[in-house]
Amino acid sequence: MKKLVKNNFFVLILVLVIVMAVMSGMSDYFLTADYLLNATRFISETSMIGLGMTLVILTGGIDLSVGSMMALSSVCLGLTCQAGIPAGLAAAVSLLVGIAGGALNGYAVCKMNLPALIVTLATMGLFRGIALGISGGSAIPIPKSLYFLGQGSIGPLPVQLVITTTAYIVIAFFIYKSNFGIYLKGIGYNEEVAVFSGIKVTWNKVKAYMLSGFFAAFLGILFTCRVSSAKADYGSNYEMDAITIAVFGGASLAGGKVSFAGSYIAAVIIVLIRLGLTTAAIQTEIQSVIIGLILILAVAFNNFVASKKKIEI
Amino acid sequence: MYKNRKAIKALLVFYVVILGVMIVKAPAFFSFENAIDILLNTSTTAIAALGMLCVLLVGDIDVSVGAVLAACCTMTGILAKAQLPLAAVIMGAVAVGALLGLINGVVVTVLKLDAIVATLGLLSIYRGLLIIITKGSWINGLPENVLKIGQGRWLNIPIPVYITVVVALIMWFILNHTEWGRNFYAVGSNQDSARLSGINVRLTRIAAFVVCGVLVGAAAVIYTTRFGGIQSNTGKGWEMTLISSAVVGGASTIGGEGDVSGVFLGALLVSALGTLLVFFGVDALWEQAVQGLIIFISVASYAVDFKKLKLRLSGGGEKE
Amino acid sequence: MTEQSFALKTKDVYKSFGGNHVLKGIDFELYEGEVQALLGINGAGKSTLIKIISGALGQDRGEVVIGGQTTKNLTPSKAQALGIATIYQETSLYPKLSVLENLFVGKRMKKRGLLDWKGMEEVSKEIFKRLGVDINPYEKMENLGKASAQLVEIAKALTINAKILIMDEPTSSLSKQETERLFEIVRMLKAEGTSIIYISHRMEEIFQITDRVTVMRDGKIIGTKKTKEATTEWITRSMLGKEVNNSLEKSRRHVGEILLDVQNLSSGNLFRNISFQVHRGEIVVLSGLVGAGRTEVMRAVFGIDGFDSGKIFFKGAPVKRHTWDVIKQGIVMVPEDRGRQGLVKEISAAENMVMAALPEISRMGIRNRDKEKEYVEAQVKGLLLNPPAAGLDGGAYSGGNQQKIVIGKWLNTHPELLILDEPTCGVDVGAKMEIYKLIVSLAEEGKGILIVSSDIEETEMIADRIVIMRQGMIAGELSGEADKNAILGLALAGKEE
Repeated sequence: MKKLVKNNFFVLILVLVIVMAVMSGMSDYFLTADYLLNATRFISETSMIGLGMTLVILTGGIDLSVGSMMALSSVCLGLTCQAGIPAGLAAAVSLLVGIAGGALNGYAVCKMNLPALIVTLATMGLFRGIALGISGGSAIPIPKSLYFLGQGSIGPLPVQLVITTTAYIVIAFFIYKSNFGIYLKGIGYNEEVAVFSGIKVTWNKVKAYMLSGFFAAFLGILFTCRVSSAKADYGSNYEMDAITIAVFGGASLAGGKVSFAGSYIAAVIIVLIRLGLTTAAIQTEIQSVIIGLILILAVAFNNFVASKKKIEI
Repeated sequence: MYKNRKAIKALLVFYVVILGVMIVKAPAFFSFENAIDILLNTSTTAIAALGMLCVLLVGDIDVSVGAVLAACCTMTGILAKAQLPLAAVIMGAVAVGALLGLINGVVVTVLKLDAIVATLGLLSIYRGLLIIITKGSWINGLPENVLKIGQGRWLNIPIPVYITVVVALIMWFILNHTEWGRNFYAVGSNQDSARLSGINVRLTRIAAFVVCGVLVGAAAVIYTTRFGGIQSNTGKGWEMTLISSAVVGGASTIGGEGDVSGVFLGALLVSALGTLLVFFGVDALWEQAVQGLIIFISVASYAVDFKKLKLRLSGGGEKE
Repeated sequence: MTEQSFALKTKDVYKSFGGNHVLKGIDFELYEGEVQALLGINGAGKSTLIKIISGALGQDRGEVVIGGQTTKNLTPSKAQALGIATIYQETSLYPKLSVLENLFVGKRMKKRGLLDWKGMEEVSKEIFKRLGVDINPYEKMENLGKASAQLVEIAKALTINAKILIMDEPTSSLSKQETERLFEIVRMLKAEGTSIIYISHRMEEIFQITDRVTVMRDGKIIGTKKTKEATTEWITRSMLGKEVNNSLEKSRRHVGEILLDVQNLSSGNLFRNISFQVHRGEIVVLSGLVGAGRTEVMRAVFGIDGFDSGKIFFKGAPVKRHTWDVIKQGIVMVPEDRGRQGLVKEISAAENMVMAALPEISRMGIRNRDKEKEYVEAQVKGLLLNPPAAGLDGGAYSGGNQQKIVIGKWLNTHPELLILDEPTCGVDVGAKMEIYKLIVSLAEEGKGILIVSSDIEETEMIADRIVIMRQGMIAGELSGEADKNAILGLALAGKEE
């Protein structure tokens, strides 16, 4: 709990409340259960891409390839299903592709000591290119049996919401409660100390990248199932969304400091703003201006608070 | 005056290999027109990548360049359609670039934000504002006198190629022979010492962003006049092209390393890839994958190269 | 004496950081052409004073008079223009730039508005000649060793014709020979009329090179004396404000079986044929000059770096290749660079102290906070951590206490052999003694201790056995009773004098 307070969690909640208030003032049916439940489908998708990014940022790295990985996973799902492989197995193949892609990123970053920004910039082109190449650029229909993942509900809750929230809770629990978490934190703040403390730095970092690839691939599946077909141009610019969420949620790109709860709330805020503005028939361009402003102001505010704290000590 | 010769060497080897393969596989590649075409494609990328280099040198990064390009292109189009003289059109585009660069620099240094986060936010702000202002309309039908820049030739070589060479020379001169240029390197290499040496770190970083904006503005003039029109999504994903060019050319993303010749070669490789792949008979669909792979390999090669060198040194015997 | 003119004078300088008063009325005087030592334990206010003099910080109250001129709003560049050059402890060089460029950043020479690289090269060559060193001005800075970097720092000061040179622990990374060379340069500069403020923790150097000694404590100047008239006792008393017992009782310890057995270890051109042993309950000091390859051997033993040939045994079994396995076997290492390798400054001391022991404390990878607390509490008490709480961020503790946190981290893994690389580097006198006592008590518990130390006095004080390395090889082995000259003889020339 202490960690939550230390981060900008309360600021985020405050922003969320303000956003909700403004939105409900602008549109009557904003604060209805139907609307909000439907919104959670989008929220879950956006927050899932932020989850992997948050993990990678915790190690002091960055993963620009998440959007492309999402497309690659989507296309893999479509093609394997088309080839007659059972849906469950096809989904597993997509997830494995995600893990493998993450492992490639992790290997290049950790073993070859290349900057994460550059490596994932290159794999971003690579993954998207492969997706384009193997799919021929066209949309691939997926079997009806998979629709449940993207369009179904568990009780009143959309499937995505349940999956993503569970993923967040599991990861956050793991980071706060397990050795893995403190290892990643140590690596993020000071990698050399971690090496000298006998921590398996390379392996732990590669795990973070693999998880990022895994969640990107998972999102690829969920997204594909919601829109009912696989395509290679999904998820473009999602890497930017992911970074925005993580940083808005309280992460420092220098590594070591992140907040999973913060990332989740940040995703909720950003999606609600987008949806709310769309509902209120406000141009998407104004939305992008508003989201850009929020990102800059939020981060500037975080820095301001952090610098205040330092002086007190 | 230390240069990252390793990157340049690796790139040159890369070029020799590619050209060697092309001689065997596709002799048609070596036509004058094809060379001109590649150089023409390189021009905008190279000019703007030199701007990106400045930002990388001081240890920052600018991912808003795509939006800045779109804004500068729009300015070029608007001024050209207003029948203003050529000089005024160019000045206008460059001024917009400089202004946006200034905003980037000020936001990053005064609010003390991570450059990647700040310019990411500014990217969506610029894009949004631009479309609001232009109402998303495309601009075309530019007057003839302006189109000459992008489409004209002198001694059978396109004007943009000349502009690129001149810009590259100017940047080389600035980065190697002026106080400001060297300050970029000093700030990127060790910010605290630079401050203690009496360098105005904040101003230097802002200057780097402004130079980047100016060069993107210059690239925008060529871009607009070459294609004779601008779409509202101009420059989308362009930041990745520029960063790749700079990094493939040996610029470091943590600052202090990189030079004009390397970045120029990097930009040439990145923008020639498309043409190359066509000659190799690579399906257009696979183009992006191969491009990504080549950038990945070329960046990874620096790391591999280094390890081998270390091994050779510790083994005692150096072959060269 | 009163006739002598001042190069620098501060009058009643005050400085505080957010309510914490760091300087309380400093009247510091530096004569022209003298070398004055500035002493004080960490936190006495030395670095703050230096920063104010060199313009990196502004004072709250008081005046800084340089060359008879009262300064106003001093900035680094103004201070430089007035002839003040500072050589900081952590070198302020640009690793990615050439030596030449490093010399001239902030004051590059120009010809008709353009940079005059030729002119700069000539000046740099002249300066290196004056210093009697051979450094290629076009070499990339990060390819130079620490000693050369220190020389570049001095050359940098010469490029501005410094009238006042401030040296903050200039010899902390230099070997004996290099230190001698540095002293020659200091004497030469002094003869040319340069005034020098010399900060060091090494007593012998202060008596060797300085003219006067000023001691600071708690933000005040305690006193200034001519070096000839000052005694070690006076200096330590003034620094600490109390008498310290500087002797360590070499209690009888039971030396048991062989713990670590290194046989013919070689790695490239870093070290060759290294063989030595450490017994249970024994303190072995690996002595030698900086750059003799001692740290490299330790890194190889600890599994940080690999090696080409040779064998390492621990309790008769070969030592494993990965650091995490080596730790499990019972070997731990307190590295040389605390800030970069030993301690994560941004996380709490408690988290630092459990970081390495987690495999033991946790169950199936899940942390057990209660057990962690027990482990941490034990170390906080056992090591007399000050402040006695582990909740603060690692960086908030003083140097000596940071070192204790690092040692605590390792004690939690229940090691049998502790390797300590320069354990008292950057630790003030008072805390040094505590660390020595701690090391001795660990040896009494039956742990093997292997220390890398360049501090001869420290070596004499605590070693049971001394292994001396020189140029990547073992130069000899001496008993703990050996005297300074014998150690130095082996370290310098490979033979006892």
